[in-house]
Amino acid sequence: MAITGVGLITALGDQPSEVHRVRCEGRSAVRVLDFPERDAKLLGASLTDFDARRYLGDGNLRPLNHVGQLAISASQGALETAGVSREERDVHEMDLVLGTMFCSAHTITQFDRKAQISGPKYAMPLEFANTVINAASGQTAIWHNLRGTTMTISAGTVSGLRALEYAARRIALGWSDQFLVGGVDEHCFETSWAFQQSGHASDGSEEASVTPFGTSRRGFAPGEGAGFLVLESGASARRRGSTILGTVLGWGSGYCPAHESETLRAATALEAIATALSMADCEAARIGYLSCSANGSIKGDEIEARVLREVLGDRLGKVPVAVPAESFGNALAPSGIFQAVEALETARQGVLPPFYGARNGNLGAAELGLSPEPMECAFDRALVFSCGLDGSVSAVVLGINS
Amino acid sequence: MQQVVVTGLGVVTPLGHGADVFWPAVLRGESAFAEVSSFDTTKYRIHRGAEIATLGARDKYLSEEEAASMGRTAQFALVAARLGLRDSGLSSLDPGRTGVVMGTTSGEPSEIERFNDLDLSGDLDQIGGRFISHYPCNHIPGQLATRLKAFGGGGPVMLPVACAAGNCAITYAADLLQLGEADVMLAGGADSFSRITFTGFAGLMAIAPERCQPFDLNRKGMMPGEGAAFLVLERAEHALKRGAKIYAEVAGYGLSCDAFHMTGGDREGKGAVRAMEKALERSRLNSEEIDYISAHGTGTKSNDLHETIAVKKVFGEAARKVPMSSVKSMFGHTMGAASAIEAAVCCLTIEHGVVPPTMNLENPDPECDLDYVPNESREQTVDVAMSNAYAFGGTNASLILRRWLS
Repeated sequence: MAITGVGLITALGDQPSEVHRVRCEGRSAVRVLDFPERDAKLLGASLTDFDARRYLGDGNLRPLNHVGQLAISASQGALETAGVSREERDVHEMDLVLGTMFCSAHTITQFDRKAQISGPKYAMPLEFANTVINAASGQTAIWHNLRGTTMTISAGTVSGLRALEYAARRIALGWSDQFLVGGVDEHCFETSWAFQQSGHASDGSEEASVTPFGTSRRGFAPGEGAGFLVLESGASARRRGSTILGTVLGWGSGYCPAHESETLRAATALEAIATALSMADCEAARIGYLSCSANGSIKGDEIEARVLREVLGDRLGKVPVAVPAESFGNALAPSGIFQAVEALETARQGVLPPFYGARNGNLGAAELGLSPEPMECAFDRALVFSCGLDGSVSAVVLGINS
Repeated sequence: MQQVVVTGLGVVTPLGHGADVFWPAVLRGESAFAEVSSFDTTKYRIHRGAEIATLGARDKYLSEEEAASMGRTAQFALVAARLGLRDSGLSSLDPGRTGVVMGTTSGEPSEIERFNDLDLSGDLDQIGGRFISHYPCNHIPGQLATRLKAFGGGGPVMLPVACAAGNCAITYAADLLQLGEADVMLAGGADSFSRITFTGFAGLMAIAPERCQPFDLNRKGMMPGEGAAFLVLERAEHALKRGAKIYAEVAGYGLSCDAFHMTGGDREGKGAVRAMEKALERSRLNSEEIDYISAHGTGTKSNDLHETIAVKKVFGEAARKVPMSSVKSMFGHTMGAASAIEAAVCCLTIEHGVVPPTMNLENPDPECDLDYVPNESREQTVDVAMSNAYAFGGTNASLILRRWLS
């Protein structure tokens, strides 16, 4: 299964090479965000200058909310890099699967709020269409004329990787030969507030309080964005003469309820990774790059640290490990897609973005041997791993030049 | 690849809970429509729907702790799943080989309503941890997996694909079982009545004032409902080994998208046609072999017409000979639960040899001129049933269930 297209809308940029450069500079999008109408300041990593017109031109954006615009803009990039033209999509059905945790909690909240304050007749039907959780996938399918399967998957923050798994499985079954796979979520007051009140998001007042693997970490900073891949069967990629950016060799997922111990949850994660490695016919020792979803989560990072130690063993500190959430915050569903794209870009450029937290006295990072400086690297097997708030875990093995 | 069979049915509907209660009520053509009681509808022009008053005697499937700590949608889902497991005769589950996948339209919309209620009363500080532990819709299958000890199939997952979600969940489970990634899957859908959904459909002028009349000339719209259904799906080999009763085989399915409009179907029914054709192709069946169609049949002007057009395109002249009915005429549109309930209806139709009616069909619409089984159930052998579901966002999902011939 070949990855032939990538598209990103992140708080650090929209081109994989540009985002990689910014990551290598050790920059982060995490900021203290002001909500003056709420008299609240919350940590987050939001897109400050996103303008869908830059990507979508003069099309009718009126039916689209922020999440829909993010998804369509990022998927446009994936289709363009894969060279899947509108004409081709008109002739050949293309499938779509989109992972999302909330889709748009903001739109839903505002829709209900308007009805409560002004009366139900003031809640607009156009807005109602965007309150359903599959709104972003529906809008994406309409915009790009995708007439095949249009699926939405919600598995919390591992939704993006579960979407990738869904597409890969259907291609393996022979039900599809071309999938647009993505993840999308937005940053908004409603979910940021709820994350903070629930203790998942950092209640710190400084960017530095979000420290993946940090011994004094206090939670994550909610982020946002959209990431898409075009996934094709080998036959489809060959037929189209596609440039193959990477391959999906194996996947595995699992679940251990969030209230269980870190030991049990780490064991579930390791099982998912073992499944992915087995399907990829790849020994753990062959993994030359590992991307994890650590984002400052108090419990999640502990689990991921255990997984890193177990998977890498005495190679800890020698194998490149990427922690993109250090820069993006916890972008929720698209996180896994961001990780996969970064893996491909790191392989292409041969440079691992640094873990700058290691320079800032992040003791946990030092113990894990994460590199404080950009590091040259070369690998042909990458493991992308994500650990969700709810106990879901997902792992994908990517092949580079294979 | 493995064959996949249905071995258990669990339903929670406004007409009753459990197939043993629900099915006779459907065959009698009972109605569950009443004045909405869960919120004040004074400011709306319409006031009726199909709510679940109580889980009643089925409360034994829900502990006090579960009733107190879980959202309404999750409660429906858990009870439906337990009813399905009881029906399947599975006395113990292998946690690593049993999975949960389900669909929904809105998950737990009451959590959004609670957020706004707290906000508007100046008490948003009281939101606490409940929003994050209840609102993200993946929380619901997670609850089921945790309480039923079903962690297989890669872990619980939610497919929020609006009104086609139940069928989508069944297709997802069938894929996993076919590939041997699980032995048993609980696949279903759930949604609960909410002011948000009611407001939305009211704004679209899509809610009928009194009752739901699919395919009737004077139909005035859908009726919002609530509920849940879970099917126990198994690899055939696994089911046969334990001597399970088999309702039907999942013969095939087809998924497509209109890519046309968020809330309105393609007028020529092209997407629906492709979903049905794919389902037939994957089932290796001809349209003449379909004995019954469970219609999406919402009761809106556009849906019923477009579905009729699509069925005619797929079935040709034979379309008029295939009975096609809408059980939504009795208990409304249960959103993400609808197609899961309707898949259960197809299994029961195959099991009992009785086709359920489309109620309230009094004045046939000349443009809707198929056999909708008006107002009375009909005894008829059904070996192969097709269930259609269409959703906001243009998703179409057609599922074919076939009598199991060992």
